[in-house]
Amino acid sequence: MISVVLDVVGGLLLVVGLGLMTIALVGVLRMPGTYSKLHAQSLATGPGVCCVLASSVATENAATISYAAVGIVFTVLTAPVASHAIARAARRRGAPAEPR
Amino acid sequence: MIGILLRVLALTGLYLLIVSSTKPGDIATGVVLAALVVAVGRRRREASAPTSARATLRRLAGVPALIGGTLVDVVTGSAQVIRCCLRRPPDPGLVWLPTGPTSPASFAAWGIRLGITPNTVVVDVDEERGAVLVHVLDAHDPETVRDEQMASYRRRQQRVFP
Repeated sequence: MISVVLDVVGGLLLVVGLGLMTIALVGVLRMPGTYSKLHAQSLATGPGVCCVLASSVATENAATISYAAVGIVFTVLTAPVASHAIARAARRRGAPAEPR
Repeated sequence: MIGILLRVLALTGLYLLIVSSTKPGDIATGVVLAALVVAVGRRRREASAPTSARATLRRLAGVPALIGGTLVDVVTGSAQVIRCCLRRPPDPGLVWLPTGPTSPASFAAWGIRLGITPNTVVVDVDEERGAVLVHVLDAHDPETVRDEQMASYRRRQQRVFP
């Protein structure tokens, strides 16, 4: 029973994660300007990647799940830094936008 | 003392997750390595006012609200970004978020919270002014953006990272 539940949860998380990444791809192509594209990109590198990694619960393998947990922790800590570095570089290179 | 124990515990947990093992030898190695890292970190850190155990426990009590609140922010932020990806962003722009965190650790935590939420991108930090420059997808009313972010900071983070 537990195995079936984990399969369903894992499958749902995988579908949600891949869906978020697909929408993020559409956003990166459609959004205007560097900063706006970064919003779409952070949808993929944050919730998208975390959902895909969390779908590892379906494997029921402790080693795989623990690696995925470490991956989620480091993704949560590093993705904002990468996004900030790109945004800061864009501002220094003169990306058009005045603070309000 | 509680803070030191928690750091050692957290680092040991991280080590055990990486080696993916709960054998006694691995646990002992993890504890020794974690204690070393914490000891080196304490030596390098500047002397600061000692915090009482009660204050540490009060801060720890705010952690569930911090994690849960950040998750709520991530879900609502993701929904907004999804809407903007499929249509066009209403009025993207840069907004200064003044005041808020006062310590470097608090600034870092605030930056990570803002960064992990897809509807805000941290562009610049002004530690002297205590302000963060963020890019938001709907900046037609900057005051509302500031009020929302400050309310989120006070409600979710201030207790843990004042």
